[in-house]
Amino acid sequence: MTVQEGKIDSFALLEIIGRVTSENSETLKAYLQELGKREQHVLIDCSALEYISSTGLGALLVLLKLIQNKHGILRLFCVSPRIVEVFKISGFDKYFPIFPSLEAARRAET
Amino acid sequence: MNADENMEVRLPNSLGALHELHAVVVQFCRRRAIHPDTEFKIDLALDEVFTNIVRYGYDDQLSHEIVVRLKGGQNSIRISIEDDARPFNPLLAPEVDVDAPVAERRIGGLGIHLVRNLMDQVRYQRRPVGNRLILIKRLGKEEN
Repeated sequence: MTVQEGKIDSFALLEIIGRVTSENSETLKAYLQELGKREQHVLIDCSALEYISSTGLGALLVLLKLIQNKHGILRLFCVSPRIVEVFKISGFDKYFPIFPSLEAARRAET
Repeated sequence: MNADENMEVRLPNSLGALHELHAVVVQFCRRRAIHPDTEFKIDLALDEVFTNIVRYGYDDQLSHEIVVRLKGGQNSIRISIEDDARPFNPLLAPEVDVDAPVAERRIGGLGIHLVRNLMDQVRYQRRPVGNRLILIKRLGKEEN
């Protein structure tokens, strides 16, 4: 797993690449905690996210709680159908707005 | 049954072994031309079971062996995971509240919730020492 970060409009733009397993999810969690403390609005590009286990979902939940506490925005885009299914089974589809593209994510009405 | 269609792997109780577990799942599924969606589900379910054993199964710092067997049938895949960990039946664990509001949502228990929902059957067997979990995944729905 690797993570890349950029900026677009007022959003931090994060790309999570590869496989998030319980072996590397602590690394992701630490990164997202730090991100959640310094940023208010975050878009996450999941187009190269191949796999995520429950511990990875836990890391995303930590970020979501930090962002919601300061009334920020957290949106995901380009999530593969397999991972969308994992979100649905977990109930996470109700927590994370998922968009088909970066354009749709950045232009969405809050 | 062709012996080549069955696989067994003995892994140490370390999250570092997840790589090897993933490689075994990929090899098993590709050899049988199992649909990638089904492979993804088997991969994830095994990751969750293995992780729970490694994280919560042992009170000591010793090295333990976890045995994973994958067996291919005509219509289903049967996976067993055996450990020598303390007795734990994950099927008796409380269900997670997937409808909880974000602020109250906890991540504990989500792994076994995923396993139950990704697999078609999950069975638990207490062994004289340790546990055996059996996962059954039917083939067909995604295969068409």
